[in-house]
Amino acid sequence: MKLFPTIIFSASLLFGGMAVAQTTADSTVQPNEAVAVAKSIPDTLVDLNKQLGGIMDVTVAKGTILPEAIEITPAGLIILKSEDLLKADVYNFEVKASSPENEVYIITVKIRRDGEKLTTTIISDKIDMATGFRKEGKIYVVVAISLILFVVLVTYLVLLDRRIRKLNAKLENRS
Amino acid sequence: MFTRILSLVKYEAMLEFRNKALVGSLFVYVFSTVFVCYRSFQTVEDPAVWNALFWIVVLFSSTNAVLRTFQRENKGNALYFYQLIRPSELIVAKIAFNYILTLLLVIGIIPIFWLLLGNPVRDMGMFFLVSFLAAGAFSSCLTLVSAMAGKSSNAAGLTPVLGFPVILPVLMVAVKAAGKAASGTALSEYWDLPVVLGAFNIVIVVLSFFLFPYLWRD
Amino acid sequence: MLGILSRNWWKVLAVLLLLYAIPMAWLGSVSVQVILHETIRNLYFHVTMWFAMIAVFAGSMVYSIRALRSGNRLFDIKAQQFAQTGMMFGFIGIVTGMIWATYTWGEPWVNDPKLNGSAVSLMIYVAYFVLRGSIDEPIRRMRVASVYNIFAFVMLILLIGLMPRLTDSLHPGNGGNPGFGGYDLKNDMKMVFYPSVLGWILMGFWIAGLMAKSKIAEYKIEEDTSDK
Repeated sequence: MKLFPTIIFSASLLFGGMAVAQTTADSTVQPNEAVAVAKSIPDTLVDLNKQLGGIMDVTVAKGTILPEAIEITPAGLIILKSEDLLKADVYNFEVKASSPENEVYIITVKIRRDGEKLTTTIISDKIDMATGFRKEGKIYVVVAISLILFVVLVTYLVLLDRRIRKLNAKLENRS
Repeated sequence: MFTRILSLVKYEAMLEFRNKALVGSLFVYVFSTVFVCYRSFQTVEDPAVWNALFWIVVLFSSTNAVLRTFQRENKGNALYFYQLIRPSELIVAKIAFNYILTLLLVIGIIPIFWLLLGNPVRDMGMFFLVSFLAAGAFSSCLTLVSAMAGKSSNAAGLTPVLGFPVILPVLMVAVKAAGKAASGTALSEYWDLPVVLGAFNIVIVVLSFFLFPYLWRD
Repeated sequence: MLGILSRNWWKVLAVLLLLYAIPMAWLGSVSVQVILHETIRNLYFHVTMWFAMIAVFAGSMVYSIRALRSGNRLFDIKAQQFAQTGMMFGFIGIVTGMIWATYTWGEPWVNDPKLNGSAVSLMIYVAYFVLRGSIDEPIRRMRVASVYNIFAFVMLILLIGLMPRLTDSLHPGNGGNPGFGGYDLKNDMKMVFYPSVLGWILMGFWIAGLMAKSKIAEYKIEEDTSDK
């Protein structure tokens, strides 16, 4: 009798583990674009929107400290604020952006200064989530199975509860 | 209350040291373990290795020292005597005495280590404080646990089983803190570790104070 | 019928909460993080198991305290069954954590204080059962085991809660990593997470309560047959 809930738990565990594994196994992290743009020191260094095509909602990734000299607009422009603030020769920071299809990209921007020229390198990785084909219907299989397992567990508990209640009532009557 | 506890501590000391053989056995234990290390390692340059060996010796010595806490009195005297005292004071006295015992142990172990294995420790004061706090945590925890295990049929076997899961994390913190003291890092970087050790000590003593009377009803 | 419902409303609540939370765990929007990708949904399962475990162990401690104060053996039985259920949740928590770690941290077990603390805390409760097994006399067993239970729970809280915060840890919320708030736990996620935690805690109490009641029924039957 006590074996049954452990079976249910292990089944849902295994299933959940496999489902989780599926969603991460497919994700490959590869840079899909590296662009170097050399400019002399004016304002806009890079237009991320133009380079990567149609991204929006650009924010600085959490945990990244943006150097004073750089400003990033939500539309995807990386702007140099003023020449005087350029202290170091190399700047590295990370930027998070989302695409119109609700994909999230994490973009590493590296700015290097050689004298008067600034070279900006962009590497963008897509954070693979289970959007796309999974969300189109296969996710409901996951939902259905987990719900079924849960409902089976609850039914078992209810039946057990009822049985124990009857047993206790019988014991009360006897004594 | 404190005078009663003090007299109980003196009583414990008298019980423990009256049998010279048992006291001697503790020091023989310490010395032989250190000697084995010495023969295997000659000198130890690396503070991390020194630290590890030190903690092995401290752990097992304090376990050994505390195991007999509840077997010091013979049963007849115990029954009469314990009618007169409050159990919460008794446990505080036993823990206090075990603190002193482990303090003496640590004070004894460190010079023996110096003698045989060299002394690569840089921040000696902090190292000593950490060792004392940790050894105190071991002994107080083991005292409480041996009180519980003493009620069962297999006291000597049960005490490590009950005590070691609790002692293990304390040991990890202690080894880390002592390692940092040995390699001479600044206190500001790892001050939270000795504080944790101190907190463990306080929590265990407080728990013992409240819980031991229930054990004593038998 | 209504009488039964009024006493068991919390079980109904648990089921409803989880019927909502489990589908939403898969369907809801989650914050997107590198390394984690979709596995962040495991939050709703792995972490909730730990919360349920702590809640059930707390219940066990409460019953131990009541056992000590009243001397009633029924409380001791309840404490033991709650501890058993708590261990089951802890085991599930560790296994789900290991699966999660294999895919995010690369290996199922790393040398992390929170992991070590959780393994140690389960070892403490295993020791509780060893202690129970080694004392035959029921009243003494109740007393000693209850004392150890209280000790064990306090140590559990210290080991899981305090220690990882002070040392380096891979876990979020400890050792310099931002906590769940900093993991930009969006409000969407909070809306699934909190019901899920509450639901599993209540489920834990339900399961533990059932185990306790069945054991008590067994005990009463034994008592009856030994009296007669």
